[in-house]
Amino acid sequence: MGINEISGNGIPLQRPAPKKAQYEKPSDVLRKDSVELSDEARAKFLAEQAKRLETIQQRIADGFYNQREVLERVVDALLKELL
Amino acid sequence: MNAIVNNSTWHNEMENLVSVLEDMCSLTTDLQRAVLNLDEAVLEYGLKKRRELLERVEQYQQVMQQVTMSDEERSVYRKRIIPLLQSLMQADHAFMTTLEEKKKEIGTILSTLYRQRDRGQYNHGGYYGNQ
Repeated sequence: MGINEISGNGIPLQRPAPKKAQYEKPSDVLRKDSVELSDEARAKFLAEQAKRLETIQQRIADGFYNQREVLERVVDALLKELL
Repeated sequence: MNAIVNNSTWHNEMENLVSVLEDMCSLTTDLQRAVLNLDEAVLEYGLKKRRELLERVEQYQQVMQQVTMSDEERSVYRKRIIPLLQSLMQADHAFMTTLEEKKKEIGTILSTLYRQRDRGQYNHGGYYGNQ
C-alpha cells in the first residue's frame, strides 16, 4: 500500500530526498576499513599483551615502587624545609 | 655534589632543583604513556632516568638542609617548588592508576575470551583441542 498524501487535506507527502549522492556505497566503505579477528586470534594477541604487562609490572615493582617511597620521603623533607 | 655549600651558589642549585622536578613530572607522564602503549623500551629507559633524577633531587634536598634561608627566600622557593611537588605526586598517582586500569582491562577481556573459548570447546567437541 502506498501513501502519497496526508489524508483529508490533500497535502502531498514529502518524501526525504534520496541520500545516494551524500553517502555513496556506505557498506563498501565500511567493509574496506574493518578487520575482524577470530576470538582465538584476539585471545592470543591479548595473552601477549598480558605477558608484556606482567614484564612491565615486574620492572615497575623492581624500580618504581622503591623510587616512589624515596620520592615521598624526599618530598616530605623538601616541604619541611620550605614551610 | 660537594657537601660544602657556598651561599652565593646555592640559589643556582635551587634553580637546578626546579628544573629537575619539571623533568621528573614530564618523565612520569611519559612513563604513563609507555604503560598505555605497553612500551617496554620507553618504560625501561624512563625508570632508569627517573632514578637518576631522584638521586639529584635527594642531593638538592641535602643542600637545602645546609643553608639558612631568609623568610623571603623561603617564600620565593615555596611558590615555585611546592606546585611542582604537587604536580609530581599527581603524575605519579596517574601513572599508578593507569597501570592498574590497564591490568584490569586486559584481565577482563582475557577472561571473557577464555570463557567463550571454553564454551566453544564444550559445544563443539574439542575443536580447540585439535589446534
